[in-house]
Amino acid sequence: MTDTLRSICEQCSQLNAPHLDFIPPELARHRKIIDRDLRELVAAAYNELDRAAALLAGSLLESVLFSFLSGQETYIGAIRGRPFVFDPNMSLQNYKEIFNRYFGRTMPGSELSDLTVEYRDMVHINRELAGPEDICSRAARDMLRIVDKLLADLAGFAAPAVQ
Amino acid sequence: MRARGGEARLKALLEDLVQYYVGVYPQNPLALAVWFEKAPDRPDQNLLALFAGTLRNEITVTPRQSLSWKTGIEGPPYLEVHASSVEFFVQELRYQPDRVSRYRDRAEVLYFDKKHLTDEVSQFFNIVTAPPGLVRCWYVDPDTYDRYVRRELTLRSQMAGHPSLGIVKTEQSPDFVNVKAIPHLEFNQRWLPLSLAAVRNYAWYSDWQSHPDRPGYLIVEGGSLYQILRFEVKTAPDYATRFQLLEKLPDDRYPEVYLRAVLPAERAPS
Repeated sequence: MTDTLRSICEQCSQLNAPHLDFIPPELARHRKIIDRDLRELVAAAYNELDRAAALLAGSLLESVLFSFLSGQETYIGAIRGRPFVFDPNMSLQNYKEIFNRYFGRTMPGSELSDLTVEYRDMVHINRELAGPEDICSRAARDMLRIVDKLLADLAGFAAPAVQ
Repeated sequence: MRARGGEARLKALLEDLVQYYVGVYPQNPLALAVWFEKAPDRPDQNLLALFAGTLRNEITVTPRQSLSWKTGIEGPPYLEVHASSVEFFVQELRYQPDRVSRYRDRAEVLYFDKKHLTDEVSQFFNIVTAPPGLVRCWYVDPDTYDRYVRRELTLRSQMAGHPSLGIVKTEQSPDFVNVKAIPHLEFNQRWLPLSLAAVRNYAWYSDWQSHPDRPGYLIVEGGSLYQILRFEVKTAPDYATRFQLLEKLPDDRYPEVYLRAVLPAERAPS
């Protein structure tokens, strides 16, 4: 049998005890929201709620990238050679591309695959219907691990988060 | 070094504009942006922007504009934008190739959305999104395979939606039964090899790791079925060039999946 959400979640140290110091102190509300969503994600996983876990993990992925990237304007600007202005109205697709481009090599193995957006888009029923029957269950399992790894990578990222 | 820094800044300015173009026409999303006739040391630059959907049957050249448009400064560097639809560009490629050949001269693709591009356009600009031998696969976990054996579902139904992974074969037995392959996934529309740290996130690896006694399966495009035997990591500095991978892993350590073809006689009766 495949791993249960609960057993996966138990192995995900960052989901259970997150280190969110990569979020700048001035973004206290972002941190509070992410903390809350992580607690709810863990609860969903412990109760084997595939869809709730998949959707919440997708939403968390976006929240984490949003909060992290908004604190990295100086760092990204230095890499690209001209100022970078974070646009809070972009999509998860955009955040993922920015993250992969500027941090994928700095944190090897942390690049986010295009599947993550596919999984998050399952909030729309037509996207779930387009996949195989077990897509939601697989998305939940993959996304728990992906969010956990991202949090671990960001927690270990040395660049200053403050502007 | 200074010239390279100047080019990077120029590219960043162009990318800001391209980003603006991405969603500027909701009915005609940006499909391709190419910086052509690149000459970073000159004040004038050129950009080709192709949009999806139907537009006027021409390549419209916009008046020269300053690349510092965001700050309101009217000064160099300047940009001339050549805008058209993918549809019209394909027509030109087919029937008037001389008229579009300049767009390939010293060209750098700054943006593409492959779902809006045709193979002809991708080939013209040498947009490579997958290594030559890549085969797309869908994962069938042990529980789902059991359901297939019990005739509760078909394997074909598992091939719906986005592939779970791609594989590039590195070895195959003469009878084609045993295969070794490098798992790939799509990152920003390009199929790239996965490091060991990355494969751990996905069910097709983690299921095997947790329950090596209960095999999962991969169904590949074309319908062949493979059983996942194991994963191993190999240090192979030659892999990136030998298999024309789109990216070389920094430590040259490639996870490989060992597969066994499930022959039709062995499969559950359909």
